[in-house]
Amino acid sequence: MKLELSRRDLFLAGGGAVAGIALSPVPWKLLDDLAIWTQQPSTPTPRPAGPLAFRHTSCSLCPASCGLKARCFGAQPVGFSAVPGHPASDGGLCPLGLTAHHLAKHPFRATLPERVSGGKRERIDRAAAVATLSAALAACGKNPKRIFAVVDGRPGRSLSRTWRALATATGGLYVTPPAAGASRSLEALGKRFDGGSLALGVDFSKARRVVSFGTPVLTDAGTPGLLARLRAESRRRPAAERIEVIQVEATRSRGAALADRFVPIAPGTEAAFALGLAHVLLDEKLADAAFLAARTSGLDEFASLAARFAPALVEQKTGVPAGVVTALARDLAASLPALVLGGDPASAPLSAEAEAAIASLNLLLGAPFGPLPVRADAPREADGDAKLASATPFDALPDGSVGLLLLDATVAEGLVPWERLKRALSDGALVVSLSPFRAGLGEKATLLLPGPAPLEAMLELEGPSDAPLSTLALAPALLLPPKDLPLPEEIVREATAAAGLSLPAPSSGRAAALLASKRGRIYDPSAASFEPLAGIASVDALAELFARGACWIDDAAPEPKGRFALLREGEAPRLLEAALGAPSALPARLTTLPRESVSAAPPSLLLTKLTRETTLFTPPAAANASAARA
Amino acid sequence: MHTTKHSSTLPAHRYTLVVDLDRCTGCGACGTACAVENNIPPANEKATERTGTVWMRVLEAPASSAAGGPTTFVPIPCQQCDNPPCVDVCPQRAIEYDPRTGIVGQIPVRCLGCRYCMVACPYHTRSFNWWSPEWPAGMESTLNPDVSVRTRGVVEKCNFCVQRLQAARAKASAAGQKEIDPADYVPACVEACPSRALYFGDAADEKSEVAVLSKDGESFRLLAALGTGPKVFYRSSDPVVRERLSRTGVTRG
Repeated sequence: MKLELSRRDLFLAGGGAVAGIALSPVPWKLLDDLAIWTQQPSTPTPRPAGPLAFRHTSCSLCPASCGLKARCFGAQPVGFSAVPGHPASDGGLCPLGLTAHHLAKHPFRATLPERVSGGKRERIDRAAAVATLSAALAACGKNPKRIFAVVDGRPGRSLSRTWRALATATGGLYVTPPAAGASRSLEALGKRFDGGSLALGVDFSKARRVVSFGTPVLTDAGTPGLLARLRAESRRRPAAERIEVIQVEATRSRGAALADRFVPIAPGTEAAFALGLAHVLLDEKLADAAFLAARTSGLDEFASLAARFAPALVEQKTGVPAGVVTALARDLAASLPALVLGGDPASAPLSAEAEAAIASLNLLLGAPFGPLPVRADAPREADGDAKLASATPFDALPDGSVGLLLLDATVAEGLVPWERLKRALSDGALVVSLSPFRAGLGEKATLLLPGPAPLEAMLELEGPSDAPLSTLALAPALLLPPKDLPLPEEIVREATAAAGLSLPAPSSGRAAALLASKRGRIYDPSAASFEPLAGIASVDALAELFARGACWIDDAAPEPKGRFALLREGEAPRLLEAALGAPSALPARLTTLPRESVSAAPPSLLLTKLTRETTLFTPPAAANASAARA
Repeated sequence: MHTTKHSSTLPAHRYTLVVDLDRCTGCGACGTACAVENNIPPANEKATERTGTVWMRVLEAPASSAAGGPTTFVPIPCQQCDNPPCVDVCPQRAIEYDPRTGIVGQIPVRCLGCRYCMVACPYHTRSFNWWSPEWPAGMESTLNPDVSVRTRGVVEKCNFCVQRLQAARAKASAAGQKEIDPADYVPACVEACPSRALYFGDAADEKSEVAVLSKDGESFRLLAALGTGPKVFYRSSDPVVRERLSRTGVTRG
């Protein structure tokens, strides 16, 4: 048989081979591998941007000004931890602070001036920003209905002097927002002291009972985690030394859920409840008689006011059973030192009358100079010959009066609500924000002059005004700001000059003012040690310490001589009317992430882990907006 | 009753976490620090409480008394069981129990995403990556170079920040020491807790704080009757909380 291969045979063999391979696992394996490869998209590979180093600074996101220890690769921080023993935070740090290094890359970050024109937001160059602002500045003061106002979220800084000088030059107002936390109730108490205002702080370590009217003392206020820590440590001690927190509030907030006792109360009846407690304390002679005799005045007048608030009446007004009122008052008297706080503008604001009643209650419990110690402000630069406007409280901003509103980068919307600001604006007002973010008040502004993001510039950070001792950090920057970022303060100065107004040269004398005071001690986080300020040789040496992340803390202030008035002049009728009249509740604010309401910056997108992937927190507005944009 | 596979060969080190429930305020700092340290991405816009990637979940347990006592927040990471049910069910050997440390490690590159381990885990502490990890532009520069990013389609969980243990070992080795300095190995959540509710250490050292705390009368383990032998202990001064959580655990959703 002759074996011949034709072309047909070759085609048949080739076709058979193809069919055979197609029926074998080989192509399917290839397809599978390809499918797996396409199913596994590339993921970012984290690479170190340089050698590992640890650097210290302070967090600027809320008034707590916690110490930060940054783990950096090159110039890039990749994580933060708290600084044990830090004077401002004592090892505490909240989720906002832990993610502060994300904010420079936040999707809402703005790096060029923006203007809203015809309802549309557009980027503009520096010259256009200067021209817009100078025209508005020149128009200010010519019409009393179109004045200039600047809102400063952190008064007392060197930059604050510039804003005060600008307000003076334009005949405008320098406005300061209310302080967060317990400061309102402390101010109300301090104003009762002889010879003017007395600054007081809160020292939770000296209290056995903490009554809070809506202020989130266990979660949001003061040093993160401090009161929760003190309370837990006290639980291992004898019953007489334990700290208990009693939350008096209309809703079962997170602070109320964590408190040892929650007293639900009808909204707007806080003054009646406080006076009911005062009634029991005085009626049963449980008040701190020695403190009342030595350090207060007007007891008889106050006693006759409180006598009208028997627990039965308080029950009618507040909804709190009379037995609970009586038992709480007796418990407070039996568990001294005790203190009462309330009126946090960022979460549960109270009426002036309720704050007054709380102040009087603190006096009956003898809280001043014990758990409510005297504190002095951190040293500031003297005004000298400069003409600088004094501060106008935010509540006093007149309606429909502002033609040009300048919002410093430190202003938090939780403390300066946009709805209230809008009331102050006249028609066609220009709202200028120096926020580095197109979020919060920065989003509402008609002219955005973005500056450095958190950690991109050195900042003067005073601790919260309700801390027992003042602290100050000149927190060094960890990140470089974007190239060609126009500094908003320079734009404002150019615009001021173009409008024919003059401003004093920028000052940076805070370190010198501090050194001259010779008060307090300075904490060096790299050495984890304190050094008396008086031992620092020069301003340069002090500046070098601050550049390493140091923090200054004041000495305890001496107890002043004088008396507190239980009632201020003409206060009794107002208090009586407010407590007996119809409840007048101020709107409570929805708290979302801890401290978000007192932060001027939007939260890092990573905090969606807490708001969207757990049920811990209500999603904040910023996260919702971000999701909508995405 | 489940047998304790590793009970006869307990590791030389027993890295242990003790959570003091009296101190926890549910602030979320532990979970946030964990996400920063371990390169866990922000939530996908479709993510929910059930589909998100969370290594340290904080759940809220109801008030302990009918009169409305304080709410208890319960942080729940992987319980690092001595007898981990997840290890037995993994077809890929993507979960390993380290006999030297007691840490239950997850190896994402071996994981095929079958999620048997998620079914097996009685504590619901494992997360499946339903979406590719994404960060806003520029935010990748803030990622921790010590931890690789996991891809879509794999399961991940807490590993007690084992990269910090490796760094501590490298430091000890460079210094010519055989054992690490305990201060060099602290997981991110423990370091971050502002109310100091988390204690971490080697319970094999009888004098260590965690060894002492985990043995006192106020400590308990979640679902202790299952015999999984968690190395995460909880403490509460409230006997009702202790009884309820040790018996029933706490679940989400």
